[in-house]
Amino acid sequence: MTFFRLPLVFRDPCAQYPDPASLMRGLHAEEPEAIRCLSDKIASAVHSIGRKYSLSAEDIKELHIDAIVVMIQKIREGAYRFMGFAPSTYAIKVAGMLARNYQRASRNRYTLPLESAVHLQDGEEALAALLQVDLLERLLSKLDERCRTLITLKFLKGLKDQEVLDQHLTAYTTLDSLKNNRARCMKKLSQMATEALQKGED
Amino acid sequence: MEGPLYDHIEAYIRRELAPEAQAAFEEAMRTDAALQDAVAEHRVLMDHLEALRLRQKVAQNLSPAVEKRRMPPLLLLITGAALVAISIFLIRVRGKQHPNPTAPEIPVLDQPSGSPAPAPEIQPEKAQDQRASPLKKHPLVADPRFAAALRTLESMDGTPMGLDDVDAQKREHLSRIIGLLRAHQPEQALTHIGAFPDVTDPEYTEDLEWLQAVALLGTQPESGLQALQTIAASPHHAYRRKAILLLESIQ
Repeated sequence: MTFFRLPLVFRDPCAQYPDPASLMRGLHAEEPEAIRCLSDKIASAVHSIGRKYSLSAEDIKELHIDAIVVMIQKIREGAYRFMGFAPSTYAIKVAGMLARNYQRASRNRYTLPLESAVHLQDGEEALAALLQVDLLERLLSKLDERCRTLITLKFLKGLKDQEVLDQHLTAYTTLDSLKNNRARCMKKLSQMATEALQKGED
Repeated sequence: MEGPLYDHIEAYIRRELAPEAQAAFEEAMRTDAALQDAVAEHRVLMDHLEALRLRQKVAQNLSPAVEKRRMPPLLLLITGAALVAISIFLIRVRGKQHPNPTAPEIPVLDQPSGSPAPAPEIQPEKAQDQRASPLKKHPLVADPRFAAALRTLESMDGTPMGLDDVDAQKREHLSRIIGLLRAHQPEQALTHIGAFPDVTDPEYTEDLEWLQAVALLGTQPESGLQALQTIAASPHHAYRRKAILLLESIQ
């Protein structure tokens, strides 16, 4: 019988994932404890990889996040199939591939065209996609506040349209107006991304 | 690229349209290349937004170990200062619990007498205190007297007394002997000591005598003690005071 729960920082995040299969299921469901567990397991190795490629402390942290993101995406896409290997082993391998491309990418950051990702190898492809995500984050901050709120609530916070209306999180009062305005904001964001990529290619 | 269809791209991608509307949208895409491109762009954008959401979630749930490795310099500085303060406090507390004996008075040191002074009386309790030093825990140091002698080399900061004054060749010779002693190779040190005698240089000779005494403590402790007593009994020997203190601590 448990009378109290230890604060998060004192709990072993891997306690509820005794084997690789359960950890993989947790990652697939984006359970915070599973993410923290994987993060714990790969922290030391990713740090070593980062140091090997002379990455800054900030970049090593980014590498760490990217490796976990790619790992979860691969699990969802079915590209990583559980065969008894620890997910951490795969994530460390991903981190190695990403790190190899970090330095080269840092020279022409945000300039990789989306189409080229198709022809890239695994690590490079993942990196190209992550660079696009990085670019998108910057572009989002440049959007006007109304559009930024509409997109953030839906895609980053994961709120349903009805929840947005019920909680009066925007000025829109009907589902149609909410959806239509968000569609226009998405188009604006898409145009900004295209322009940014074209500028980068020039 | 305007029109009601464009407002329904997201619903189409998410398959939230009614079956008839979904079919109508697909039909429109077949004839409208611009709509097709818009759907493709929108799909990519949604994928990237999803990746961004995942990225933010991962960043929020990183292991504390990652943050620890990125401890900012100021925090490192504060941590370091706190550790130093705690260490000083502990040393002081320990010092109060085990006060060090006062330094022995050696009146004969300042007497310019030509006759050899008698060896000082030995105080065993001080020797016990010296042996409590962590340096004694070195596994290679078998004889505590040799260990105590090596400590005198450490307190000399790696140089015998006359090292700065001797020429380069002698300096190198002395450094090599000190290196061998520190590596706990007193036999080899003794071999080197005998390899380069120079009786015309008294300071250099005294350096060698001191190092020989230290080396002998590591190989033949009784001979080492005798060598130390000889130095302690020589009123003008540069290492006389050190020899007296060392004898006090090891006997």
